[in-house]
Amino acid sequence: VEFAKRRVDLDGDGKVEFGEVLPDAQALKAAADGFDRHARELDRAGERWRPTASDAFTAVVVMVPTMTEYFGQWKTSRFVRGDRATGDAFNVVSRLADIRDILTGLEVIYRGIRPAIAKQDVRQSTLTAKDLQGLRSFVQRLYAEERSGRRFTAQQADTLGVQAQDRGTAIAGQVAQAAARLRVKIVQ
Amino acid sequence: VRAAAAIVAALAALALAVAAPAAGGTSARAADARLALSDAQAALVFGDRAEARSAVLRAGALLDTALARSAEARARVAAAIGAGAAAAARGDEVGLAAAAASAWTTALRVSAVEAVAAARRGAVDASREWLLVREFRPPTRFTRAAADATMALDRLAAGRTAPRAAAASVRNDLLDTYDARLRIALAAAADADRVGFDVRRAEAAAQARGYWQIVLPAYASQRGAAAARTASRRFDAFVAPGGRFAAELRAVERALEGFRAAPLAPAEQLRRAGQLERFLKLVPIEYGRGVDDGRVTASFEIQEAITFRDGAAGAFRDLEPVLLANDRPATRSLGVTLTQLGAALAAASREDKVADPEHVAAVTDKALGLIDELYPASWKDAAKTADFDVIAATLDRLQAAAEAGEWGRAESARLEAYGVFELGPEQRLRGLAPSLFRQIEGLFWYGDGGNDGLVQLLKRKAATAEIATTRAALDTSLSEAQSRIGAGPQSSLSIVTNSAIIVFREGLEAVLILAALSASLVGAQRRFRRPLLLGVGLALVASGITWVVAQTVLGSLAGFGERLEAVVSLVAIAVLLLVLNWFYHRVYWQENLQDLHRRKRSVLAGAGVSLAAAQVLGLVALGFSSVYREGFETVLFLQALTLEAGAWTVLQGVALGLAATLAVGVLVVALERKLPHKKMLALTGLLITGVLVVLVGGTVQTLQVVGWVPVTPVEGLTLPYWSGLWLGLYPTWEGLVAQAAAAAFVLGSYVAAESLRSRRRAKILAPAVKARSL
Repeated sequence: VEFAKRRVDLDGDGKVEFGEVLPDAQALKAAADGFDRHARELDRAGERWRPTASDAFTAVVVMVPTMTEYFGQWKTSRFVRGDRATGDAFNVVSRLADIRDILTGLEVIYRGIRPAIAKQDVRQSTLTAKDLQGLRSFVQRLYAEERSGRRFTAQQADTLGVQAQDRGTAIAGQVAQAAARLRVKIVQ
Repeated sequence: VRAAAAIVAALAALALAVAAPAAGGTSARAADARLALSDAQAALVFGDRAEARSAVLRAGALLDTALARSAEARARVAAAIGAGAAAAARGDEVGLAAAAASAWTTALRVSAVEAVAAARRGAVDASREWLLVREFRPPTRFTRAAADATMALDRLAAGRTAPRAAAASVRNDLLDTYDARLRIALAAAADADRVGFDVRRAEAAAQARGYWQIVLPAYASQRGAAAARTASRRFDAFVAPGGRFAAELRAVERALEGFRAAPLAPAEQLRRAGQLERFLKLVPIEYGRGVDDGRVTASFEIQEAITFRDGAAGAFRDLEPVLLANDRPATRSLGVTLTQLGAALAAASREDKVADPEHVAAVTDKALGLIDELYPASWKDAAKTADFDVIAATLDRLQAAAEAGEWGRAESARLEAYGVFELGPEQRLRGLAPSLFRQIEGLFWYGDGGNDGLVQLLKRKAATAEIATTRAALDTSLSEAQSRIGAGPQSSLSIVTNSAIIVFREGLEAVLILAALSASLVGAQRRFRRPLLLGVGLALVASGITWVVAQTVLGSLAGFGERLEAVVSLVAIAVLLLVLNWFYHRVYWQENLQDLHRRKRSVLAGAGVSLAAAQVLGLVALGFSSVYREGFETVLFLQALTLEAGAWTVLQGVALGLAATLAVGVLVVALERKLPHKKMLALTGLLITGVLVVLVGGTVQTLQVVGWVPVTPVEGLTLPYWSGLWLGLYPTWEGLVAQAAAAAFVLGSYVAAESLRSRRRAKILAPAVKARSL
């Protein structure tokens, strides 16, 4: 609200709704510069990063608590609760996009550790890859539906969130088993 | 109704036969079935009934093949799939959720039975295949999925364990998992009922019944077949549509009260007891930080409070059977209180109703009071065992904050984690494994073994991977520390040696100051020895009193440890500076030049009464603060050792340490007496200056530990651990600058005294020179 300059009907539907607002140009410029700087830093840090086996396994295992938090935030965000939302977080993009992006990243990470897991147990390595891919498709579909204008009720958001978390828990559990067999430390 | 059910079942069976199962083994089919059931529920949410029904039938076909060995399970699955397909066709989300949960938990039951049976036969591969069809405890910040079953099968494959033992491990792991999931499902059903989510309620209730059937044999063996049958009827009523949900839930919970499918070993019980108490104490602290004036001001603090509350509730669930046997009403009351606390935190998190922090503190106090009543005597110190869990959780927070670029929060989490370490494990480690304690301290601060310390990493906003590397090293050291503390002292000799080292290390600084000062107080100044010794005597008495107090309230006293040390150290520095100033200006100058300015001194003597009184007071304070600041710390460390090895062993170490300290003192005094007076004074001055510089370095470090002084590491400067321990040298700008300033002050004081002396000498000699020249 502090940086909002003008409320306008951006989508031309005759109504000025939530989110239809133009920001202060200075604030927008500062934010864009900040994004640019941080994106470059992130890119450089990413280039430098050489993950260890422990990093990779930990990333997959700790995704579940993170995803649980993100689904919790999605359920109370304006994307689900509309104007009854109480969270004051600035949500322009749905948390579903973040969850999908995390899962996409985890698939990349998993590709790196899959050969090691396969050496121990081919079935398990295949199963986990399939589960990860299935979970990402599931979340992708939710996001696509939301983007196409579907508004989930709080109960539906809960049902879908629980499905995703259960699937995530199964994946994390299997990867924790593989880590134990490979003597790879999961960092708490 | 029966006819309709028969038709549905027949249709389902037909559909199962038609739908082609995917290629692959049992685990692949079961995994595909799970995805299909999940997809079916999603499809119904999206309004696509045909797709939902088709997915249900696909799941049914896959499970039918996967569970081919169990006719009973196949029939159950077929019935559930039939009900699910019918629910999907009519767009009934509630019916589909319950049916899907029922079909899937039936598959889990078969897989658990088959995995154990295969392990018992020694068929490792078959057991592993079935173990791929299992669930896990949801990971939290404090727990990761157990790998007991997996590792038992590895041992079996390597011939390191017998099939029977491996099967027992597999069984325990699975029972423990499904017991936990049963409680989680019941809690989820209750939550869903409270907010009116009927789909989730039906699904969670059906899951609970499915998990119940997995743990049922364990229940029957512990409570008898009749009790098991009664409990099963309760679960049937619980999932039946149209029942009185709240009443049925209570009945189920009563049936499960005190039951644990895989009972905990005593060591695990103690650990859980520690977690319950420790995590609970942290809830009001975190909550209070996140709420102000009826509003949530920091939502992450509320999330922290919820995390700790959930950790406490998890530990309580695990301990409940033991506590119930001890005192049923108090245990129930504790369970209710924890639930109330959870509800208050959840409401604050949703910002529906933000409870007053005092209310949260009062509810927590009530729970802690009940814990105090309930815990057997052997669990009274259990909270200490949870220190490592709290440190791990706080370090998680540090990493999360660092990843989010919130460096201030990361630093405050670092200090918090270090605080828990310092007040708990450190004091015991100093006695049990001093080198390990140094490693850990190094990793928290300025680095150890090639890894940068956390303080350095946070200051230069290091990459996540770098922080994770130090964290991994810290985890390894902390885990070793935990096992060392758990194992207790290796021998009385190590405790005696370590106590002696503690006393010697802490006493050396005080003795050096006192020996140096007292050696310099000769001639007319000898009378000043008395107030100095009086201060020392008072400090020894105060340390003795601290020992007595510490025995009763060690925990609360330790909480003030660093702050008290910081304050006493500041007093010690202030007094030392004053005395040094006086030392240079009065003793050095006056003693050496007394022949030259006798007249001047007689003038001073008249006005010197109040000055002498101040000096007496200053020396008492110096004697007191020099000894008490070391005495207080020594008492705390020795208390921790007394708990480990008993007072007698520790006292032997104390006697050795004191003897060594006194020997050094005597040596210094003897050395000084042998030296010519002027050399002795120079040596004394140097010694006191050195002690002052060390004292300033150590005090700045203490002030940084309590967060009163910022930390700015000197980039590229690495110092060995001993430089901090013995010289007070730490690679921070604050510490080094303060030490340089202290040295400069003393040198300045000396130079000022010298120039004053020259001027006065010139002044005194001037008339004589003038007369001679005349």
